[in-house]
Amino acid sequence: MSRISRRTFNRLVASTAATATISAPFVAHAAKPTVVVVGGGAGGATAARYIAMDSGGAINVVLIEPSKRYYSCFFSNLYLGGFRDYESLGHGYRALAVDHGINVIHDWVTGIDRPGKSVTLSSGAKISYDRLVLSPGIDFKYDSVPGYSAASASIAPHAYKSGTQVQLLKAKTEAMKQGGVFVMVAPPNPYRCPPGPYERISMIASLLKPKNPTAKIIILDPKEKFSKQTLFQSGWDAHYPGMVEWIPASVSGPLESVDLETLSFKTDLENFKADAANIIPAQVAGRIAHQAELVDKSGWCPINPESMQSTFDDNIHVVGDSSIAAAMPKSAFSANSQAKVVANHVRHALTGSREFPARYNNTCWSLIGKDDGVKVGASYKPGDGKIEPTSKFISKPGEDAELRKKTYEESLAWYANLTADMFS
Amino acid sequence: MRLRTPKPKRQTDLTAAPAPILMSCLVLICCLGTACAEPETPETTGDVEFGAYLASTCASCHSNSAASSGIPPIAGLKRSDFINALKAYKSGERDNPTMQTIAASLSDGDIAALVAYFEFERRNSKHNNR
Repeated sequence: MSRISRRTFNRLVASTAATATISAPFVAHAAKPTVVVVGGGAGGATAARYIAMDSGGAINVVLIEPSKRYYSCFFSNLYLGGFRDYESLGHGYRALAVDHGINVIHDWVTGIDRPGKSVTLSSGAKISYDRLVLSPGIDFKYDSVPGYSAASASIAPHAYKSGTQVQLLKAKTEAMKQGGVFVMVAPPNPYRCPPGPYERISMIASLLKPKNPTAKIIILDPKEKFSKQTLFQSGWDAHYPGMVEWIPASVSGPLESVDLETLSFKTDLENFKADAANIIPAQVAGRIAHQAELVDKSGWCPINPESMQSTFDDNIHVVGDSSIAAAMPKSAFSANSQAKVVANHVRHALTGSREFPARYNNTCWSLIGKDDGVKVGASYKPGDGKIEPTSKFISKPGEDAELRKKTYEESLAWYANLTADMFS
Repeated sequence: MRLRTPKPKRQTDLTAAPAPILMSCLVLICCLGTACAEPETPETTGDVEFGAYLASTCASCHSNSAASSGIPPIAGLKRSDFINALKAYKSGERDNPTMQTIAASLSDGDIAALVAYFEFERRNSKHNNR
């Protein structure tokens, strides 16, 4: 049985590249080069794994990630809806360390010395790099929602970085009184996982429907349209009739203030009182990217579409949600795809292995109700200074139940295989 | 009958390279050639190393396990089935929009590279399992 393990092939190719390292233009690196990867999510774990796996030991790979166990944000909505248990979202770093020889360090990066090409950890340790792969995910602009703050995330969870926040949101939703009101404040563009808030609404409705069928769900949205809008809205009508109300800012007026003591939301034209609330603030690149001055005025990291290299620093690649990948959405699939382009580019730069043109892909699956899965996706290539789609698709309204079930089952297989592609 | 001997594309670099590079490249070519000894056809002239790079995309969704459900495994597929499936997705004859989109982005050379890589892996795996 053949495998996609790449190991047999990589051993052969890596031996060629390693020899080239000694002899050819790469002689500058007398010692084994080091790649430091910051962030162990879909971008960072994949980049570390592919650089280690495909270089066959020719590159030292150091992965720095504070969490000892990674709980994926993707698929956490399915936990909210009762379609997965929380532990099924957890993944460890053992195989990366033991099977791939990656130096996995559970710590925070507190500083990046770009001229000196080193990172400093909260422990005080300093690690030099030849290339740095930065995949720190998102950070929140809490004050984008007037009255909201990091401290008040325990009252109205954002639940947008997985972890205990998601568990808290589920507990608060289940504790709602009969006929109570759930309010979501949706984020402005751009943000992690464009269909995510609306899949979440579907899953909250699915959670409430059997036990609290008269509950209401209100979405206060600064946007005038959203990802897979027709699919979600028709799905809400079919599965949860009368339960979900989407209110864009053009209808209610902008959100003016939030009173977290009373869970009251004041817009220009109307006030809403919630029994449970989910506030997803505006987002920017992870904090360390700001500290290293790798962001532009948008708060995200501009990159070269051929290699995901920062436009501010050729020695740093930014992968995943923090990057400005133009048409590519901020998703786990995108980050995983970008990481493979980076791995190829980094190995070429440090060992002389062959470099291939960047190819990117993404698909985002969403669950609207039981066995009712939909998806949107595209393939991408570097275009005129940015990543551009070459072909794309989206599920159609009115698809039959069998196809929707297949799409859901496809998403389950994708989750299993993507997380294996990150962590196995 | 000619043996297929996939070579790295940068042949000019190789001919100018010092002996250690040539030696290791010869090892690679010999290994690949042994593993992939086949009549040369348009489908067997792919760039194996490029195929390995492209195949990393497949690994985002397809597992190594034949027991996988939801997304069918592709490892171990017969070469003809693999090529026919990709061509059918590309033409729209087979109906999965994710695969149609990915196939649409693949040139004939890309498909040949993927075929060459999976064929290499399949034969090598068989060899190792003897």
